[in-house]
Amino acid sequence: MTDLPLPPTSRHAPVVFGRTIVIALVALAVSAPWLTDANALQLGTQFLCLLTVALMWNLLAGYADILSLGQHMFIGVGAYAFYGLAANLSVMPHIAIPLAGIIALLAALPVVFVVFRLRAAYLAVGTWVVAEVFMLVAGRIPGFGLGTGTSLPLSTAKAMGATALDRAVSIYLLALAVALVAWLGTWMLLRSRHGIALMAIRDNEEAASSLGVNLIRTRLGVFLWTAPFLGMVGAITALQKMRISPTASFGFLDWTVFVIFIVVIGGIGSLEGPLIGTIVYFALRYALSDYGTWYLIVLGGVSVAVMLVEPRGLWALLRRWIGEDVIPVSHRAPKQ
Amino acid sequence: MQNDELLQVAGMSAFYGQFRALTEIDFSVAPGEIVAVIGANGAGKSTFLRSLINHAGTATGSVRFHGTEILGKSTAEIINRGIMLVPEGRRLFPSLTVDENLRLGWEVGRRDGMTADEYFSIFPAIAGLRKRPAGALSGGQQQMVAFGRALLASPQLLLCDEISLGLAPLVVDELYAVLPKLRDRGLGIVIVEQDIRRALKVADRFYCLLEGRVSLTGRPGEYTRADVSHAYFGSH
Amino acid sequence: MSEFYINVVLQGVLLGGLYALFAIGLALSVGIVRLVNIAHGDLIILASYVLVVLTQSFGLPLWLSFLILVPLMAGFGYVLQQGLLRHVTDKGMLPPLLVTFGLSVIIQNGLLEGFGADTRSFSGGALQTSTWQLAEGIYVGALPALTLLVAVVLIFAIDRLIYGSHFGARLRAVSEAPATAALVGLRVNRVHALALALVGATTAVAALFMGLRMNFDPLSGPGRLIIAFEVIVLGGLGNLWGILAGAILLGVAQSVAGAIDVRLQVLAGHLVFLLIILLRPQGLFQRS
Repeated sequence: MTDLPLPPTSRHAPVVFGRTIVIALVALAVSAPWLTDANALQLGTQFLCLLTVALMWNLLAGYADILSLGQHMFIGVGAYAFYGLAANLSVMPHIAIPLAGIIALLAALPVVFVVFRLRAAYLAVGTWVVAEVFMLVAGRIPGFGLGTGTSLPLSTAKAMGATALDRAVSIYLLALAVALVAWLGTWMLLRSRHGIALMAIRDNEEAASSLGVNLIRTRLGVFLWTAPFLGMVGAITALQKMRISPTASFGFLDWTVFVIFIVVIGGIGSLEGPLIGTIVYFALRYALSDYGTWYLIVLGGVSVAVMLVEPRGLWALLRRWIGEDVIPVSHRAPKQ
Repeated sequence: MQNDELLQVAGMSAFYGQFRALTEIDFSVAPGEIVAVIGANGAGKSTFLRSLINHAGTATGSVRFHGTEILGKSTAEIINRGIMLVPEGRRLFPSLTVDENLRLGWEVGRRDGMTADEYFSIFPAIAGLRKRPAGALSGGQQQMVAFGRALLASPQLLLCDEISLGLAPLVVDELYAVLPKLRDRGLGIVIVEQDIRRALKVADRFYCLLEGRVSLTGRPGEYTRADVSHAYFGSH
Repeated sequence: MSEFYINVVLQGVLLGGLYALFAIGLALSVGIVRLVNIAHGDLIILASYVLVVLTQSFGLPLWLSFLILVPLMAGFGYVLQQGLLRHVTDKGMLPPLLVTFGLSVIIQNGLLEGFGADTRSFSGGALQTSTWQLAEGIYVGALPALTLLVAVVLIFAIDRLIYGSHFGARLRAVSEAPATAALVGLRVNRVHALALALVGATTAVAALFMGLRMNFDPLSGPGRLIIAFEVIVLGGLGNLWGILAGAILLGVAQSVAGAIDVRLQVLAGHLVFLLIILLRPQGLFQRS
């Protein structure tokens, strides 16, 4: 964009600006517990959870060419696992959350085995069917509130802090930790050998397979990678709401519909997209909260328009102005 | 003279995105004329043929058919006006029967030229295979059906892309023997061919493409082998 | 006891007739346009609400409303392809899925906005209540039997259309090799749009029988989509009579499980589906 004679080592101003914003957001997220109240922290927890899920859905759709309509299954598995550990087995929440992630990963193993028998577009609906099965089964497990769900015991809440603010801070920090690990981990994954294979798939599937990239194994690996993070988000959400139920914990609308809109609007196939999409989503939710169904109609309409006009979303428009990735994932020679 | 031409191409360039595949092509075909387009791999021969029916990248310049500008019209409309392609690799619909493949040609065309009966009299070998799926036919038979699909569209200009590719010499002889018969019916024919000798034997005129430009044009007898070879390979 | 199970299986078979009606349109979308239409179930629900408007707001009899609905939905399918889906049909896997996904959410919430969340159904008079006794203790309802009959007739008619007509040859050509079809002058977009018109017409039939046999509300679409999807995968993609077999299998599985414990009904259908893709991912009636 700029024709200014910059010295070769200096970056374009928009990139510096973009990176400053990202760093400022991270700094804000880390310092939030000392700056705000319990309500704001609850909202922040929701934001971080949704951001993590959006990142994972984007990793699948934008890099591994897997469109899943069933990732909410792992959120639900995480929530139910957390309840089983924290409420039934009295495991400390801080330990129960990573364990819930591991259980979600274990649940993902047979899922992968089944759904990857279906190809491409069929896999999308196939994952949805599996998520339905998980939800229906969750509603029949004795000791987990059956179809109506159940509340977490007060002892679990007390373990998170004495006051409402203390609890909100602890839960927020857990969500922040999961989000940061998910982001850093995924960023490193994308910069690794596997990440290069993924981007080769994204950019040219035929070329990637002729280069010997093992498509199936890489895809399976990415699908499994997302499960523990989604499981931990499910656990944190259960902890925050102090409740599990089949319809809420395995919520298709909350954890798949909104997430797809976030990623599509923000920009599929970039690390910046989910962040932008989540910010836009929360802004729209705030602005349109009184309009109920119209809110969803607008989100649906916008995402259809995005697919028709600029399938790489808002980030693609911004990137044209910025000129390069704000969160760089490829090993590129420095620009002149 | 110009108004007698069936097809008149002037200054046509073709692009795939940023890449320029053809540069300023001038080209013409008269009714009842066989024109060969020769050139090395990647010289732009297939792109040229497909550009004529608007099925390759984007083209600029002028393509007049019967004096009417057709550049930018849809493939379906151009075919309906009377230009039909026999595509490289035959490209039949393998699960459809021979009859169904032929019938599709009839449906997309002008429906006022060759009938199925006439076609079967030219290619009697196909008459017994009408109910077979096209995919079950031999390569040569498939090429004959691909010819038939194109001819039943009643073209005035027939474009043949690499019709000898992968076929036994005897079959190719049979196919090439048909071309003069079609010319005598008044069709203009453009053949793109790797086998230069065969192409120049049947053609009335030829164009040689080199890196997307016309490097030589004329009648087959006018030039020496060395001239053609130079136009074909460029200056080495 | 055995009569009880014969009745249960028979009901499952007849339920399969309805499921086949859900699936025919999706099979055509997938088979001809190569479109896994996430909004397929919502199109059926949309058609049902058009019937609600025609019968309740305009006071037309159900049969007349249905005769109006068929061309309406066919036209809607045509316009949907030409106006929207055409732009993403050849753009790889993600855009068509995501556009139809967005469409699905728009239809659901548009219907919620217009009609509220109440469940609806149609009244079919004596057709809904009469039953026939086939043998001692074995009964079939007139409506379920008619549904299965209509499904069979519809599959037969579409099979003849696709494999026995010139239009069908065009559909198969476009389905098999869209690039070649365009190269030899077929108007691929128009053929796709006509295919979606056919899909639209089948959703009208599905909507009528669904509304006669069960309740629906604006959010019922995804459930119908999943059933249609399971049916076409079980039946083997690109196999019209396989649809009927897949639908009956799903119907019987649900009916038998529902007789054991009514809460197991839906789960059993999904489990049979997953079990079979595990054993035969190419579907039951397709060679590998």
